[in-house]
Amino acid sequence: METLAPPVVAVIVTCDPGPWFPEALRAFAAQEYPELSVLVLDAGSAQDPTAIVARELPGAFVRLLGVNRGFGASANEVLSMVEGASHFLFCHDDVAPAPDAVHFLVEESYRSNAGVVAPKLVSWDDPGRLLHVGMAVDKGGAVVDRVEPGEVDHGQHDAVRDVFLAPGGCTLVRADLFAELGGFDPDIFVMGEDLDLCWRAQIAGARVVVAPQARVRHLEVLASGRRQLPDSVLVDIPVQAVAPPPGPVVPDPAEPGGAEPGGDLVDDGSVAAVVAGSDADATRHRREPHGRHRTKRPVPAITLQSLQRRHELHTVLKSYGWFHLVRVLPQLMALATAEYGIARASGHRDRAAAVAHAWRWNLVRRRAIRTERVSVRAHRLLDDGEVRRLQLHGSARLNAYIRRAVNQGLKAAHLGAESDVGEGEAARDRAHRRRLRADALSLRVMAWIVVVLVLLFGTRQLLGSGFPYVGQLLPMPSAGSLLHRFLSGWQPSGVGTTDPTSPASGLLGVAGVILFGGVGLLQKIVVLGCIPVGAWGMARLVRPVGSPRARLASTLVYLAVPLPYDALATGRWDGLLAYAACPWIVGFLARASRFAPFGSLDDAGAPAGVAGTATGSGSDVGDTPPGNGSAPGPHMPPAAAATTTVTTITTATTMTARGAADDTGGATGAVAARRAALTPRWRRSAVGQVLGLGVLEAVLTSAAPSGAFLVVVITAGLAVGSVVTAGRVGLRPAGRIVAAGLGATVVAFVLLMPWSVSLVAGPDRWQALTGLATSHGNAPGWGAILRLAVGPIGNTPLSWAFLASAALPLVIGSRWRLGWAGRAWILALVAWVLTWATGHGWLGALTPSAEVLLAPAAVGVALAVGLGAASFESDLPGYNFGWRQAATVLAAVAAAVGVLPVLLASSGGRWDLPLTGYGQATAWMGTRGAAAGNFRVLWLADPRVLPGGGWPVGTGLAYSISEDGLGDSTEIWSGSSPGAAAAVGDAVRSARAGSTVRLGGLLAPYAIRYVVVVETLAPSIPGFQSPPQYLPPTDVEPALLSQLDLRQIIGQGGFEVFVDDAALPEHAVLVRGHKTPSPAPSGSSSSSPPGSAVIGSDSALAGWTPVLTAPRGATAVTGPVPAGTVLAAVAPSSSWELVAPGGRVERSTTRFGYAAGFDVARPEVVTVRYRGSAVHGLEIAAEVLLWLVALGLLVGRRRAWALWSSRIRRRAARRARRVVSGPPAPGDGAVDGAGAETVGDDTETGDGSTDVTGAETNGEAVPRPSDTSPGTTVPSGTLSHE
Amino acid sequence: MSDAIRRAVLLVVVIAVIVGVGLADAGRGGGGGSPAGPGGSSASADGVGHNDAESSAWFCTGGTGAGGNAKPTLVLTNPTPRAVTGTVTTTAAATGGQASGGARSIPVTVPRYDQAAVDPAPGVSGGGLASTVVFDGGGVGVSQVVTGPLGYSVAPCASRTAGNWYFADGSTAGNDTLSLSLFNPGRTTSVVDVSFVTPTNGLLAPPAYQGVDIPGGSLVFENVGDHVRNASDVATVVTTLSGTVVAAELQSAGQPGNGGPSVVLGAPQPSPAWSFAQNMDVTGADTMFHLFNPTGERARVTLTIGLQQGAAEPLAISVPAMSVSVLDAGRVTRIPSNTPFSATFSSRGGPGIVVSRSLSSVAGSPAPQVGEVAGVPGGSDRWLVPATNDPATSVSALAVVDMSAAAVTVRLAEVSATGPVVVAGFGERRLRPGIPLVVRPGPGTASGTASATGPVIGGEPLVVMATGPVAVACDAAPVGNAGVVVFPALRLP
Repeated sequence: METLAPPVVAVIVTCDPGPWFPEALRAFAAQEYPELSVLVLDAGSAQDPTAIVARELPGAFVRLLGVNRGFGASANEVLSMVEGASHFLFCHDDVAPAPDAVHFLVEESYRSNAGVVAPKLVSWDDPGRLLHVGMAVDKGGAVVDRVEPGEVDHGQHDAVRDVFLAPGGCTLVRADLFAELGGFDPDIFVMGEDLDLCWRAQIAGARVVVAPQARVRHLEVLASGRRQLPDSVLVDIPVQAVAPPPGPVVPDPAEPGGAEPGGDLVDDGSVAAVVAGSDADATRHRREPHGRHRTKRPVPAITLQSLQRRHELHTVLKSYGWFHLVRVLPQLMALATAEYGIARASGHRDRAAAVAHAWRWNLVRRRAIRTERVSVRAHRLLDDGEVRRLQLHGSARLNAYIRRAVNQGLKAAHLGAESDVGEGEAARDRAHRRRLRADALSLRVMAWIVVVLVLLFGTRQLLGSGFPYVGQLLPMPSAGSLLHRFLSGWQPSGVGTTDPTSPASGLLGVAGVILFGGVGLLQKIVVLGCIPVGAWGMARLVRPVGSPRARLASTLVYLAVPLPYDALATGRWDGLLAYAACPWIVGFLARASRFAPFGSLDDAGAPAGVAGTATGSGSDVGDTPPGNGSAPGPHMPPAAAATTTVTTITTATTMTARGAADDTGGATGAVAARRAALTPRWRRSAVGQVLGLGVLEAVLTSAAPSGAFLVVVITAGLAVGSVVTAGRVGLRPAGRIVAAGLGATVVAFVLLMPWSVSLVAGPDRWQALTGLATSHGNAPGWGAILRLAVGPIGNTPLSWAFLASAALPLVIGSRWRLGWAGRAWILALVAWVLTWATGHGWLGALTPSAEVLLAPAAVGVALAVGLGAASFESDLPGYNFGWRQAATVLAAVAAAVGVLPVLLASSGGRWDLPLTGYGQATAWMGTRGAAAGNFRVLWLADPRVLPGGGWPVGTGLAYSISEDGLGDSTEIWSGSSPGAAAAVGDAVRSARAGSTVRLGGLLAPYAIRYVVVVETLAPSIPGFQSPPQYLPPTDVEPALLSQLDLRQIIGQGGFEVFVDDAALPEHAVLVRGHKTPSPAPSGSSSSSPPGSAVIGSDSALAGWTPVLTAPRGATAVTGPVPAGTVLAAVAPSSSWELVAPGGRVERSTTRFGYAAGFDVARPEVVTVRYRGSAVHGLEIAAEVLLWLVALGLLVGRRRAWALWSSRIRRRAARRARRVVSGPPAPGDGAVDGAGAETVGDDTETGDGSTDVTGAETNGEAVPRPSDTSPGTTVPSGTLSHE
Repeated sequence: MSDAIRRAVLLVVVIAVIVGVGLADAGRGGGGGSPAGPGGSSASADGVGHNDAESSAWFCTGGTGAGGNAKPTLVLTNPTPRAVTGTVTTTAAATGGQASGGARSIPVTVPRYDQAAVDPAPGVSGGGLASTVVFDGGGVGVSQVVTGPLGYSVAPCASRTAGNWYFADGSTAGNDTLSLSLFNPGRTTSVVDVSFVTPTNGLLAPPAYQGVDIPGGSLVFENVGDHVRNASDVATVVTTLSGTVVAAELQSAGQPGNGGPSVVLGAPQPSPAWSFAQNMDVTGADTMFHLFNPTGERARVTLTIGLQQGAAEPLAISVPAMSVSVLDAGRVTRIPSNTPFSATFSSRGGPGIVVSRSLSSVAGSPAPQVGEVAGVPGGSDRWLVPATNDPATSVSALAVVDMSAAAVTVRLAEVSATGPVVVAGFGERRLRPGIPLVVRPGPGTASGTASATGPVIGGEPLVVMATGPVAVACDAAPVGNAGVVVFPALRLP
């Protein structure tokens, strides 16, 4: 019978359909619409659905596409297959339309003249509940449902109305419109193809309406998690398939609870993969019979949310005209930035990743988007203004966020969009878990935010202004000067030296160049940055413990010990550097010990954390940290036990990846495992560890020379701790620790050559490493040492609280927690005792500053507190209720109380750093001295307050020499030996010993015009600042006052200044013919003013006039000089030359034992310059090369390793293809046996012939060659509706 | 190792280390102030520089120009094997406390193993004088002999400047005049406060003596009696607000034939121990010890009396803060009359004090003179005794007293033209704590428990060497009379 109904083709796209499929087919079979044909497009199902279709819907057509290119791309096949249809009804394979649904849809299409008609989508299992009745969209493409989740259908949405979006699942589209639009966007694999089509339909002038009379049940298998997307879709950017190193542990990770909550960023430098949540997580390591394991799949990266977000943005970018795009895009960027920040801060990493991914994905496809924009423009009938009228005003997400925040609180607002995609029991379950994790994450995030705010608040005055010049906080020279001093081979240190300089000068110079010369900013970074770097190191150190609480506690305690703030307050940059480096050093050496959780050994010497023991008896298992390759221990909370994942990979030196501690703990075991897998194996080897530690030690030592001693202290502490805590078993780990420490020191020594060689070349040079002996009277007491409060901050009994808290693991800890608590305490004890002993001079010349020596103790205390937290989680439940629980409470209270001193100290805004330093106080020197040529300043002080570095004069007194006023930060590395300036130290010693009353005469040849005795950290200004006193020995001032040729001009305010009126300029000339006054003959008498009596005068100093004024540290100075003898008071004399217009003038003599004298025959313009050394150039080249090699091994080789390994795998994959099956036959759908191994290759090549795609596939997607043949149709042929 | 054992071991180790080091730290006490360096800080200002020193200086003040009561002669003693050159620069003070503004320099050379006498200001009359002697090396000691109508006095010069100076005694009573010399030999202007302490008036700080500017190289010579009138026991405190000075007092007492001048170098700081090796409470004379406590804390002083026959029972004396206590030796019954004795004042464990001795011998007594001498703070194991430079004066005795708690051995060498020569027959003398060794001139004359064959004391410089800290004093007197003018020797490095 002929019918008047327009022909409609229902296009069902399917891929590995589930058990619901027959029911769906039966629903189509039951349709009352007479001109309905059904076309089933199978997108690469593993099982051919033809039989099912034939059974349930015999009249349907089936076409096997052979490959899954996504819903849209698959549905587009209808354009080439069907002719004569008036409408297409695009359906998922999980929808079941009511028998009259198609009828109503078609009817409404004609009644409303709509191009797209959507039905009322209701729940599959409960048709009384609404899913969608059309959807709204805002200007950013964010979709908003018109119904509430789970809303019961009472007919409240039964009016036909225009909507912007007909949600996917079952959509009627006019065939001509579909053809004109070119079908779905093939770039949209899933999630968003409906939005894209509807938006373009609106632009083309078509109406989109919803026809509620048409009811369609929808299972939503993808959103509900019953169907998973293929990994090829979930990977953001192709990841090299890197197999973990071989080892005994081949766990099967990533049960839902074991995954990184909310995803995580995996950044290996070249690969940025956004790891999905638990439903899309996990690298699938499969255990294989021979203990080898391989990567089955690439690292999945994308959530449905990510797909939705990126496709929304994609649609926006291609659909708007330029005018609206320019207007809307900045708004979207701002909103995205804000959403990203909020999501990160609130612990919703998946959402943050989705936002970031959306922009990144579209940015990569900007060329394709331009092409698509041309296509959209081609069929545009309505301008954007018309289209915008159909959209929601404002930002749907922002409105929803605000609404939730107001009505339900911030937490609900953060969680609100969890329902953006998916529902169903599984999804709700996962959302619940994510919420729990987010709660914990939020707590930690809030803690970190508070910490950051406190640090910023406490440092606020230092951020906006420069540092006062006190202690080692001296002005940093320009980047060019830093590099010049590193490269030139001559340093102005003392009176000049050709000793090698510290590589720190070069490193800072390079950093200064990178910062475009902003050395002020650089100084703030390298000084203030030490505190967060130290905290970061502490967090990294404690990470293997496996407890977020432990990590948080340790890091917070490390941040709250007074030590770094005291170091900052007293201008001790070396102390800050030590604070920053210590946790990292401890981490290296801890891994070297191989004690769990840093390695595979328990404290009894048995392997821990390996699969073999992890699945064994409880005793071993319990000693293994979560995620360290064991099942949960008997004392672990049930939740933790249920979700612990195992991801340890053991090599020669074991790296441990932490698994989940508990459901709320935010475990990162899988991520850690992936990181470990991506880390080159050699870096986890002993050699790699030693190299890493060596580079760290080299960097530390170059900036703070006593840092070399720090490694020794930590090595000793951990080695002793290993023996004390593990007995004989600890000997071998102790040996490994010592070997690592020594090896690192050797590496550092090599990297620091030739500077390091010069440091150990003679006993008088060791002080650069060992430090300068401070006054015993200024030494901190035992109490201050224990409290880690050796400065103005923390001098309160509250600082004892951390010790009480750190004692907790010693009383409640067990197994490796007790072992490491003991090691932490032993480390702290070693540092404390050494600090105390050096303060009292018991270690002779070994006198690093207290701030440096105490840094390991700070690490020990913080680590112990963290282990206390871990013990609280893991050990305390195993005890009966009693004093241990009370002790735990007290420890927690103590830890909180211990924070208070630093918290209170933050109120000042500058951590008690003085307001003004010696820069201002001595600025007048430069102005006064300029007329008299370049001059030097001799600084005498206790080493703690001596500006820069220096050399010892005796216990508690050191000296340094600077040019033209206060020195710069390079004075910190003032050279291993004073060189010619040693005579200055001898002169000061003579003065102190009463062996001279003519110190001025002795200093004058060295161009020392001012002698400054520093008594306080900074100038003392009544009512303004009262810096701490570090008095020099009591005999210094009287000795200087007794000098008959020194004149004191400032004698208060914390420092004293003496003037040597007879001082020579650095560059001077003795005019030819000058008569040197001779002393009066014996017995005669002369009369002269008392102040200028000939007492102490030296005829050799008379007659010199200044010439050739040069910038500080210059290696060449040019200017006119009269005829005479030109003096260059710079050492060594043999390294300087004078160049006159007539040529080079040979040095005529060495004056005063160190200075160069040149005879100039006539007045002329000359240049006095440093004569470089070719050997020095070679030394520098070798040094730079060594650093590059070391850094290349640490950084660059990682990429090389990845490339190398991927090549191997590609080669293996090709071999496997050839061996297993050869070229696949067309249409056979065979699975390539090497598919798993070739994922990386396939995605990397981007070759369409090997693309792995899949829409709504279930389970694992396997790559297969694309089948370009039509596939199989039943019956074959082209559908035709005439 | 089980957890229980590990736990126990760890707790024991941790507690033991923390408590142990804590106890050790407590035992060592607080850090205290910064220690002195190699040169140290001493209560004495009369140290001779090291032989190998680059330079050394001496500062002599207290004397007056010609026509005054104390015309100085500088005695430069060189016990070293090399000649030392130097310069003597003398500054005269104008009256009224104003610096004179002029200086005279005299190059000098002191031959090896020899002594030289220099008139620092030939032809300069009136006012105070101050001299700076700068040597191009060390090892030379300088003392000052002043002579005038009232007699003579010998005092060591100062080898260093200081920020504080203390004088335990002085008198402006009756005809006594007390002059204070403040000499700034350096190049830095010093600002000085001067205050006085008397038993009756306590602390006096005359406004005119507060904030006194003393430019470098100048001398202020003040008559204390202008501000502290008719006080018989005047202690003086000189405090510099900036810079350093050298301070000395010139005490002129009595009438010619029954009086004498005394030049006393101040003590740069209080000392816990003071010794007077040579004393004799002779008939008709008054020997008074003045104990000045310039600190803010009461001092409890023990006087140890050394006699020929042994040590007498110590005497306890309490000296309140910022006060002067006067001890009349004649009233101490445990000191026999006409017997040499040593006196050592100790304030160990308490604040430092300053002690001086005055002796007033009326007309008709064996030695009718008035003299003031500062004690010897602390001890030294090497002393240089310059030869007297006045032919009318002889050394009546050389006294050595042990200032340690253990016996020491003393040797005596005479600085001859060929070098130090051990005094023949003297040998080594064992000296018990507190028991003075008194060596009298002339062969076979000795007193005390240790008899000594006396050399010709006073003819040549002497070097006293001991194995422990001793104090050495020399009793100079007009030939044939009992000595009352005792001057300390110079410390050798």
